[in-house]
Amino acid sequence: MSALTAVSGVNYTKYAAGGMSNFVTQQWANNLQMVHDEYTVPAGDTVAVSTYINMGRVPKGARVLFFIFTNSGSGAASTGGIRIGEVAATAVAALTDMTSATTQVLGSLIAFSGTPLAAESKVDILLTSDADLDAATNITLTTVYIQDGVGL
Amino acid sequence: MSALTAVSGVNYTKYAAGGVANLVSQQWMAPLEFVFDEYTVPTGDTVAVAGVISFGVVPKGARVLFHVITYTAAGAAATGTIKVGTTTSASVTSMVAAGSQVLGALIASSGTPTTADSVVTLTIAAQDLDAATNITLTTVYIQDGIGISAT
Repeated sequence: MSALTAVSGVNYTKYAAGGMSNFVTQQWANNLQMVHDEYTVPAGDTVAVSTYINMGRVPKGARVLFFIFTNSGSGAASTGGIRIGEVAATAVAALTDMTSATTQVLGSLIAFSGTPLAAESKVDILLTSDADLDAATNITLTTVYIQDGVGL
Repeated sequence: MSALTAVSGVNYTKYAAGGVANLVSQQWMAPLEFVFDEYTVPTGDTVAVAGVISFGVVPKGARVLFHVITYTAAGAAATGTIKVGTTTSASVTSMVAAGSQVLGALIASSGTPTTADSVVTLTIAAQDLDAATNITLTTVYIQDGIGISAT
């Protein structure tokens, strides 16, 4: 057993072996990509607890890095989690109290950044608190990812 | 000495002087770029306090904006410092449980473009990183020298 003091990531190892030209992959000097979606609760309706709100799809091969969530103020203390392919990509109540207008930037769990998606997958928000999302609440969700298979 | 009430950024000043056509530069409407890397501590080993993990290289001319780190549970309350070259860019809090952190870069990384290709590193602090811990680190930057140009 060793207590390591100098180690390298997978891509840095390529760089160390062959310089920048060996390092160039789709995981270097490539562009971030995103899926943006928005939803407004219809007048006179609410979105009930345990409902999921579909908010776009990310393609096969994506490594999802983080999310940007905004809401206009739901009037109730709704919370929620973000899922990809109906698997938790954040903590189940990572979207905290939405009573007032909020913006949150949330990293994904490593299951979605460490491994590219094996298939195109739905992004949704699962409401997890005991408070409904009130009428006219407007939410946006931007899912930011890198594509493990497209690029340089 | 004045208590200023309406001032402009460097690029907005260009816009004000000549409209959008004057604003177009590599710092406007150019894509965000990234370096992604991942590391797994070998079975039976740890990464020691003060150990350094190299996570890719950002090119000369990069202005680093933020970092996204994700990790499986480190087993111990390891923290860390992300550096771009020798410049401290962000601080990582406890990785004892699986999670992720989105960390804005310090202005030393965003306010001045790198003057050479620079290694992105994570220096471990507080506790060792346990065997089998898996980490990804994505460094997001804009390129101050490549992109849309007015000329």
